[in-house]
Amino acid sequence: MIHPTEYTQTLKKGMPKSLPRGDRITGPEWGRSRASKALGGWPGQCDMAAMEFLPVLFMVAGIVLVAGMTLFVSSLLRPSNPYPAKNMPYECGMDPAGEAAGGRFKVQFFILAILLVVFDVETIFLFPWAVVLKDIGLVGYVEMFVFIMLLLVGFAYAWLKGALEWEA
Amino acid sequence: MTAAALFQSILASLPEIVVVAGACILLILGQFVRKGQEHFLVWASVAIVLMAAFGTLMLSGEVRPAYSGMFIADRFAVFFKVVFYLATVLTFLLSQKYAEIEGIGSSEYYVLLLFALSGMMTMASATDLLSIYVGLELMALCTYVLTGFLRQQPRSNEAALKYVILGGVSTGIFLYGVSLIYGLTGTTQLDGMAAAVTGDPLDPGMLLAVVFIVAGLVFKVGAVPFHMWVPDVYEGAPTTITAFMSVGPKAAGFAVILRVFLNPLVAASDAWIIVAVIAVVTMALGSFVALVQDNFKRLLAYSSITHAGFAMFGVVAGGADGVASVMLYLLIYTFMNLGIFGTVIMMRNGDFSGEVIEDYAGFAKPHPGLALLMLLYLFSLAGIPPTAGFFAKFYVLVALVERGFVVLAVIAVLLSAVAAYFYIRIVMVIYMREPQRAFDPALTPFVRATLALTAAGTIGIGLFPAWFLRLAQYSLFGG
Repeated sequence: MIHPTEYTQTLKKGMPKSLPRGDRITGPEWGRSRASKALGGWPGQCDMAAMEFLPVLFMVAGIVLVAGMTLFVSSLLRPSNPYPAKNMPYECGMDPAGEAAGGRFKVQFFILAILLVVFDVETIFLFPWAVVLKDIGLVGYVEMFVFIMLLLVGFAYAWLKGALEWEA
Repeated sequence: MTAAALFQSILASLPEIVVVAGACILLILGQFVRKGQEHFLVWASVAIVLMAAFGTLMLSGEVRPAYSGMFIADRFAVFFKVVFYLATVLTFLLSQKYAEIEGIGSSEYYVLLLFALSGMMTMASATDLLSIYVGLELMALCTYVLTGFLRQQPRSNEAALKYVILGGVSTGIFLYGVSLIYGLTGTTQLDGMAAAVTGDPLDPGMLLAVVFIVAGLVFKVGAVPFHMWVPDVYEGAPTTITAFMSVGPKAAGFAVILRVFLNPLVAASDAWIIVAVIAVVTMALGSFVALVQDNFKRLLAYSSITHAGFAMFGVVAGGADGVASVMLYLLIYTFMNLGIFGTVIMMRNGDFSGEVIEDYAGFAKPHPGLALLMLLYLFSLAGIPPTAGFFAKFYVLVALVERGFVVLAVIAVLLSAVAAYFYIRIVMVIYMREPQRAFDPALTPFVRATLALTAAGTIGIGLFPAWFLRLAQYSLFGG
């Protein structure tokens, strides 16, 4: 299992052990990752920290641009015909006004939602684990079972408390 | 990670594993405990904590780094873990009768306290921002739930809601700071962070990250300007949980702050200026606002803010002496604060809440022994010799003066004189007034044991302060 710190340690290998004090910002070597190299990697005199995040800025700008363009172009092309039923907020087949809109849900909805999140997180963790299973060996294999055991304890508790009964 | 390294890591974190596994077992077993058998839960939880304590002391011989540098089992952590064990066990003992009176005697109460304990232990041992975060969240989530345990009382619900929202914001800020640190330095290790943070010149992104992380930690300690939640949450929570929160999570927050300040780079930097400002403002606010409180729990909340401020002065002093003085302060504070909370919890019986200071008028007439105990705790909190509370403050002041912060020491003394007033006012109410009602304290054997232990701690450390200071210094140099 690749530990976060091991990951950072592999990252660190590229840099000198101790950071030169005054040179940290303008330093030529350390902290330059693939991202800034892909951009052409300005030599020397620029704020490395800011450079690191430049691709993120490009991405945000790209997202805003694409979203804005889509809305603008489609407003030119589409027919405009609003009527009340169309302007109503979409609510999965339920009337947006009334019982659901009053915020009075059965508490079982919340319990199920929390249980869903628990197993969602488990699945998110299981996928990368399964991908690198060969590299992490028996230790990683056993570690996942410890994790699943802890989840199962929570699940057994929820079951015992009757969280899975719809009619309380 | 190889199997051998993993085995070493498991060995280093054995006490945490014992607590988590015990809590899991108790969570399931607790569902089969019949009504009227609740004392089984107390015994089982105490047994789990004692097992973990045994493991901690057995393993305290050497320093064991574990989990690729995210965790360390050293004597510094052992000292804090002992404080946590003490706070948790005493809370268990205080809880049984109180939980019965309030109708909250379910197994989850004990299980959540155990999980909070494991979170605090992780924080004391963590050497990486991510493991600190995991411990912090584990502890915080449990205390949120425990705050709202009096489900029938709107006050408790309100406190829990406030706490969960403000706590969520503070952890969010902390996590944002961690992500900035990772983005700027490529590491989340405390040592790596210290090396980068103390660099000169400090770039604005790094400064922002440090401010965010400090804000997240200071929130848990309850220091100004992140103290807003303390009075409301302390007042609304079940009193036993208030007692626990005022010592356990506070000490855990200090454990992380001190571990950062143990780093020679941080100690040599100008970080003490921020901490000094926080300490002065915290103490001033806590002392002056406490003067006008009528509710005992609210008063103790402000008192805990004041004490956090005083302990911060020890962090300002820094160095081995300063850090050791803070550690001793937290140990003594655990004894005296749990003691005074023990007397408040004991007063809760029948319809009598025992939360208003006026309720204690003339308490000394029918119960001279218990009144004397309250006097002892209050004098200790005020810092009057020969109680332990005096030496807690004394060693912090010594550390301050030795480092040349004479002005800060004078401010600390003046503000504790203000704080002494509101403790002694309670003593006056207890001794000088005529009793207006019959008192019926809920004195179970468990509560008696707690009061005896805290009184022994308060007097014992007051009699042998140098020995306990050496203990704190020894745990410091060993780690």
